[in-house]
Parts: sequence; structure tokens; C-alpha cells
Amino acid sequence: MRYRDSLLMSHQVLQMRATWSNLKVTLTRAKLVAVGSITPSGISQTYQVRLEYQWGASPKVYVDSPPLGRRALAPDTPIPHTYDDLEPGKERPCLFYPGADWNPAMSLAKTIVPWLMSWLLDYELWHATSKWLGGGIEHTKQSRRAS
Amino acid sequence: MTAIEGSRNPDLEFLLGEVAAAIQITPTQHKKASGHYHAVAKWLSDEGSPFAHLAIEIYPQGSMALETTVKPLDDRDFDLDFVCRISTTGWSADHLYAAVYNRLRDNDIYRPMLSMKKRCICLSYQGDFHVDIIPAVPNPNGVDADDTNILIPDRQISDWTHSNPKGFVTWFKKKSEVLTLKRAQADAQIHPLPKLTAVAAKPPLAVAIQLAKRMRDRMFGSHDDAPRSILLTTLAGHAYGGSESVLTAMHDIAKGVDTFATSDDHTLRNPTNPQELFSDGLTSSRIEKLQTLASELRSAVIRLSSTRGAPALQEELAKLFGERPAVIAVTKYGELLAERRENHTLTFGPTGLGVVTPAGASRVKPHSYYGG
Repeated sequence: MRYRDSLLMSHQVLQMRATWSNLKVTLTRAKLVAVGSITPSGISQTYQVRLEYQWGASPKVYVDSPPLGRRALAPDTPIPHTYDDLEPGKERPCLFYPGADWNPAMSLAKTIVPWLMSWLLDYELWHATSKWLGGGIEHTKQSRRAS
Repeated sequence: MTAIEGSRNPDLEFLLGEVAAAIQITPTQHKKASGHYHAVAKWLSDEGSPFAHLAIEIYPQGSMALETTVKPLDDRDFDLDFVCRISTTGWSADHLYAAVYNRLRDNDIYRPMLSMKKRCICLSYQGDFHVDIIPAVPNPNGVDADDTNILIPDRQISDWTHSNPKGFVTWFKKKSEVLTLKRAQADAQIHPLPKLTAVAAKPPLAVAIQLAKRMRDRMFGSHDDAPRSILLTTLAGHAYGGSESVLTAMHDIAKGVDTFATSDDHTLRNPTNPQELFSDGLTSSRIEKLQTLASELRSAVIRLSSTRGAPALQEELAKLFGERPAVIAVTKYGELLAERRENHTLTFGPTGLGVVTPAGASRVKPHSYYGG
């Protein structure tokens, strides 16, 4: 993907604001930051989240509160599909397969935010049932800490 | 107005429907039971039977006909009730009862399974369920146009007693009708949804009754004074306001049961046959238990509508209806989410993801979570 195919940062900001009114979106020095609350579904909790997108890099998402945590009944099992999964308290969701699912021509509002909702719902269901029902691709050892 | 009466939460409704599906008798049990009663019907009407020349009609009554079955807790057998209506006149109540009993006793298979109850003959199928056969004759003075009023023998009084289970089923089905257009159906025309489960098609009132009955069973076990299903079902039918929400239907049931239990008049009749008294034997202890159930139902509705987060909600469902159905329901929800993601029918909008019903016109683009 060449940069000229990318969606303009100003367009990303506009789309984010138009689609997700609960997120406060700012753009400073080619870095988009969206902060606010999302509620993935009618049975889920509401989460305070943060989305950071630096022009030219992969978007990153953080769950600020309630903090992500391992299952109380299995404290040694890391949260599935997270970066920094071996450092409790630092995990952040892996929403897509790098280089395949997402590219800069895509709208953050229509991909990353619903993907995060979907991840949060699967995370809750994993807490409840101990099963990750959302599928996904396993990390290789080398890329476990990649961003 | 409480939050319960506000907007319907389709995701929570889905969980309640799946809990109900997990606690009802299975299609296999259902099929087995039908097979048994057809065999019984055949034996009663076969050549050599004293009823061979008479018109015999056998039909289910109670929860099986109402689609409100609930598997009993522990290892108790499930009860299935069937009416065996024999078109005869001039027989005494005792005579009819004995004739049906004797005919069943003549069969080598049925003989060891037989026992006598007050108003029916019980066939015990080992380790599975009881089939209660209620002998009946048409009510010669029946006033209903459908000719569903019947007389059944009561062994205690050696006389007939009035009943109308078939009319009751018709009444209940009518009362179960949802008054507003189903949102899922309206939306389905715009966004095709994957197949609806059998439970989704089930009236909210029937689902709410199943949930209320399971709560009763968990609260009172097999206690003699536990509220009877026929009372709950009738009060529920009277109180239900036609909402498409199971939660609202549960709230209606709570209100209806409470109003009945706290009123001065504790008479409840079959709405389709005033001579059949459902409130027969309603002692003060039983009324008290009705009231307890009503208040538990009410607080369950409030807790369910305010609890958020799949783990907390699963725990709440487990407390109310049992661990297993709660886990099954939450797992089914996760499977639905996965299925939608896979076949690209997962939508999103300002309210979140459309897991059960569409949340908006935008579909979630395919993606795979990464990471171990």
C-alpha cells in the first residue's frame, strides 16, 4: 500500500466523529487519538478505550477501564489474542492480522472500532465460559511482543 | 415505569430464550412421549377393546400442549398428561375409570407400569417420565361451540368433575399473541438474518412461563405447597400485556401473581370452563408461596435488566435458572457472534454490534484476531 492510496488523516477524523459520537477525536502531528466509551452490545459492559493511529503505522487500541484481566479461576492463562499478553496489566487487543486485514486506505471508524467491540465481546464471553469463541490466528513466538 | 418496560434488549432476550430452550424437554423426549401415547391410544381403540366401537380421541394437555415444559430438577421423572376422551354416555365416573384401567392392565407391557391416581391412570416409563392418562367423556351439557368441555372421573368423590384442557390451550395461545410487530421480522426484510431458532419463534409469554416455573422449582423443590403450573399459567395469561419482550412478560407474570395472592378473592377458574376450579385446595401457605415467587420474579427482572457484562450476567442467570442452562445460553450467544462474523452478517451502529438483530446498515469487515 502506497501512501497516496491512504485515506487522508482529516477524513479519518471526520468519519470517526460522524460514526462514534462517544469518542473524542483529536489530530496532532499526523497522529490521531480517539478517547471515550464504547458499549459492544446490549449485554456487555461499557469500556473506556483509546485508539492511536500514527500516519504510516498500524493503529493501536488500549482498554483503559475496566482494565483487562485474566480469568480468576485460571490466573496463569494469558488473555487470548493480546499483545504483551505475558505482562498482566499491559495487554492490549490484537484486532487484525498485520498486513492482511487492514491497510491505510480503510476507515478506522468502520474497521478498528467495530473490531474492538467484537474483541471485547469475545473477551467477556471468554471470561464467562473459559472458551474463546471468536477464532483468530495464533501468534508466533517471535512476533508475540510486536506491535 | 421501570427500565424493564422501556426498550427491548434483543441480546438479553436471546439469552433468556436460550435458557428456556436448555431447560425444556428435548425433542427426543418429546418424540418418545408422543410415540408412547400413540401406542396407548392404539391399544385402547384396537379390536378387542371395550372402546373399539367408540370414538376415541387422545390429546396432550398441560405444558406439552402449551409448549411450556420444564425439565424437573434432580432426577425426578417428567410428567406428561394426556386426555383420553371416549365418546360414551350413560357410564358412571367409576365405571369409565375402571374400564380404561382394566384395558391397560390387560396389556403385558403396561400392567407392571400402571398405578392409580386421583384423576388419572399413571404409566411409568422407567427412568424417564410418567404418562398420565386422564379418562374423559364429552360433557353432555357443554355449552362451548367447539365441544371441548369434558367430564373426568374423580376417584375421591366417585363422580365426574369438569374440565376443559383443550379450550384452555386455545385460550392460552390467543393470550400469548404478541401485540406489536416483531422488530426482528421488520428488520429481516432489509437485512436478511440467519435462521431463527425454534425458541426465537416461540411466544415471549411461553418462554417467560418456563423461566418462572424453573425459578419455582429451584425455590421450592418438590414441596407440596409449591405454586402449581396451571395457576401460574392462567394468571400469566390474564396478566400478559402482549409485549414482545420476555423480560416484560416476566414482569407481567409477577404483577399478576402478586395481585391475585394479595387480593381477597382467591378463586381462579378455567377461563374456558367456569365450572373447573383451578384454585381448588389453595391454602394460605400456598398463597404465601405464590407471593414469594412473585416477589422473586420481580427482583429477578430488575437484576437481569441492570446487570451488564457477560460474566456477571451468566452468574445471575445461573443463580436464577441453574449453572448449566446459563453457560449454554452464553455460549450460544458467542457462537452466534462467531457465525455472523464468518458469514459477514455482523452489523454495527451507534448502539454497538448487531449480534442478535441488526444494529445498523454497516457490516463489519472480515478480520482475524492475531496473537496467542
